[in-house]
Amino acid sequence: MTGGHILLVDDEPGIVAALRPALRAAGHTVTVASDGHEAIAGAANADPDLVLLDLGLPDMDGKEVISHIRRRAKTPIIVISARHQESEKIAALDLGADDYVDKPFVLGILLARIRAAMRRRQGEAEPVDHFSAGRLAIDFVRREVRLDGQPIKLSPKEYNLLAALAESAGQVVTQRRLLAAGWGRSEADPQYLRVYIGLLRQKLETNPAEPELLLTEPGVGYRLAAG
Amino acid sequence: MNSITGDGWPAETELGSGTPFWPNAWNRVVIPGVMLGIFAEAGVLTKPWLGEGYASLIFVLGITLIGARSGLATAVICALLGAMIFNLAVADPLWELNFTRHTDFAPPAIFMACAVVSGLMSGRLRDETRRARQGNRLLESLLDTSRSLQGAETITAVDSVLRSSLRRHLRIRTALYTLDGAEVAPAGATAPDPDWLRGAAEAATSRADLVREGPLAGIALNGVHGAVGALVVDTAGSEEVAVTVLPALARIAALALERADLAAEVAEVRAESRAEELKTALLSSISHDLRTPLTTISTSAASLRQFGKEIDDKTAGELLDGIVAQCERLNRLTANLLEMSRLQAGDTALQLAVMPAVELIGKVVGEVRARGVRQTIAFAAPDGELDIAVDRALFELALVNVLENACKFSPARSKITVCCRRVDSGCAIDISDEGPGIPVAEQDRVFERFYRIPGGARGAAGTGLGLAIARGFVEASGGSIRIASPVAKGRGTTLTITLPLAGPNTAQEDAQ
Repeated sequence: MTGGHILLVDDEPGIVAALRPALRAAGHTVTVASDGHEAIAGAANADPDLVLLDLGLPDMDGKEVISHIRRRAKTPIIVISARHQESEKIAALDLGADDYVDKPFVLGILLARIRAAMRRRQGEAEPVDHFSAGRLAIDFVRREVRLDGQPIKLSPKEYNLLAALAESAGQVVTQRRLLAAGWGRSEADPQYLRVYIGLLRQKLETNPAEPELLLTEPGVGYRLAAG
Repeated sequence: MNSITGDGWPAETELGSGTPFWPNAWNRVVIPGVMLGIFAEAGVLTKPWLGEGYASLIFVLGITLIGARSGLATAVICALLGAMIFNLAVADPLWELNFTRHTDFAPPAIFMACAVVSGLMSGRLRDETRRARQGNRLLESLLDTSRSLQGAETITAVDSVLRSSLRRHLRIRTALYTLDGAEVAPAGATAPDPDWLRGAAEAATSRADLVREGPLAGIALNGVHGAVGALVVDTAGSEEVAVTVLPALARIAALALERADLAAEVAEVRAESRAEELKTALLSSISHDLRTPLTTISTSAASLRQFGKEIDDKTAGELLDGIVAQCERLNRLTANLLEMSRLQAGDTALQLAVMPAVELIGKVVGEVRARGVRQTIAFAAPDGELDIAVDRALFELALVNVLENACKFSPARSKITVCCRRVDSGCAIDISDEGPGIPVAEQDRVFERFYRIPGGARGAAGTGLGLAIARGFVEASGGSIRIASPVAKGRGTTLTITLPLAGPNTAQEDAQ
């Protein structure tokens, strides 16, 4: 696939030095910002295709950068954080971040998340009417789900959840967003969500105990593995 | 106690200081004498108008008053004297003792009866008063002891309060013993006297109210869950006081002991939870500090493997350099943790050796510069080389920590100045930066382990161990570390480490 323009926001020179060559080698062009102000200015001026953002910045909280960028643009934002607190990730996602990776991350996973986020951004430009990844295929127009070509019967709630996950395939979808998609209100009991994800896994996974399609992001939400 | 003795005076079990001799003589001799004189004179003088019979009534009045005031013995003596005076000066014939008529015996008998009755009455009254006063005093002393015990939060404090309060109020010697399992142990400053200890052990184990052994009385201190200790009292000299107050004292003391136990438990739990917090903080800060170098290393290595062909040689070299640098960083972090635990354990085995301070500092400054910090670091040594006796590894580590800290909190392209100079007693190393400074209120706390200034520049970076290690090192080396901030125009921090200069013999001494 063709690369994009990535704004890398991190104050650790070591991480920048290590990531920049990797991102370039993967076909992206890279602009670096080492603090929050540079990041906001960079996002406004350079109009990147994606922002890779470290939450721990010297001059401001990374979450502020997210809200600043979101006020102007829908640029995908992937948060890099050494903070393993779920609440931080959820706050970042709620503010408009698209995904996150934990430090220390595996380069391959970061590159895959970048691809997923960019693909979704392109997808938004031209509305898609179907989705397919591996054995799973969804026809959004006819609301049909097929596994290995065989139609699968899903309840409306199950379908809505799967569709919400498929729209952001490869990216984490927070519990709040899934609850809103399935039940119409984001404050619903996450317990419902666990039950319905369980039902979906029964219908879609080869081994529901070891899901390969519907992945749990503990404490944050779920992710539909993208192809 | 306080039975009416022959003279109408209660036995001298009076609390407080014994009555001094002179006021006693005054009360018993002078005042009754004067009273007797006045009333006798009045009787003699009024006889011409009132006659012998009525004049004798004045004598009766006087003796009754003396009896009421001065007690039985004095009244009886006064009655005899009065009878003589009456016989001589009032009764006819005047000025000769005459007991020939039966009427001559009436005045002495009546005077004597008055003296006995009034003396006994006044004695009893006085006893009652005294007893009431003593009761009050006991109550007050118990109250005061109990009030003082409220503030006693440790067993030692309970012991010292009991001891001093009871000696002051009741003049009795007491000793407090605690019961641990079946073992009775002297509490606080209680001397381990075997007799007392035996009394305490007996009292604590027996269920009897009071255990007597010679002059000692022991009583168990019963808490909610059985005996918590024993109180032993020396009853010599004030037996009844001691025995009366002992049960009440025991209850107060038992309460105080239980409270002290609870307070100790609370303190222990608090200390444990603080240690737990510290551990959690340590773990989270270590895991944070480990992540950055790990991420860098893993990303660089993965880039080289995945995109080896697309990466030019120069970039590949940089990636490898990055891996090496981050490994060093991991190494430093590990070293910091190890040194910290070494200092924490109070290990005195510092590898002291005489070292040239300026040379060491120059080397450290060079290393930190080579790490590509964004500030310029200047180093000055106006007094030339200075010898210090230090543990070299720790000294370098402390200096690196302080310098890194200065870099971490300073803006890019600002200046950090290191100056090594001689002061009267030692070698002072100033590390000054142009950062935002440290608020006065935070200046002491920055040396605490895991402390980071709230809302400080780098929300996430740093373990908060650096300065704690620096201080640990400096203190272990007999030096001092202090902070001055702001330095100029409301900005900047100067951290000064002062280390003792190495004397000619220091090296040999300390090496041993």
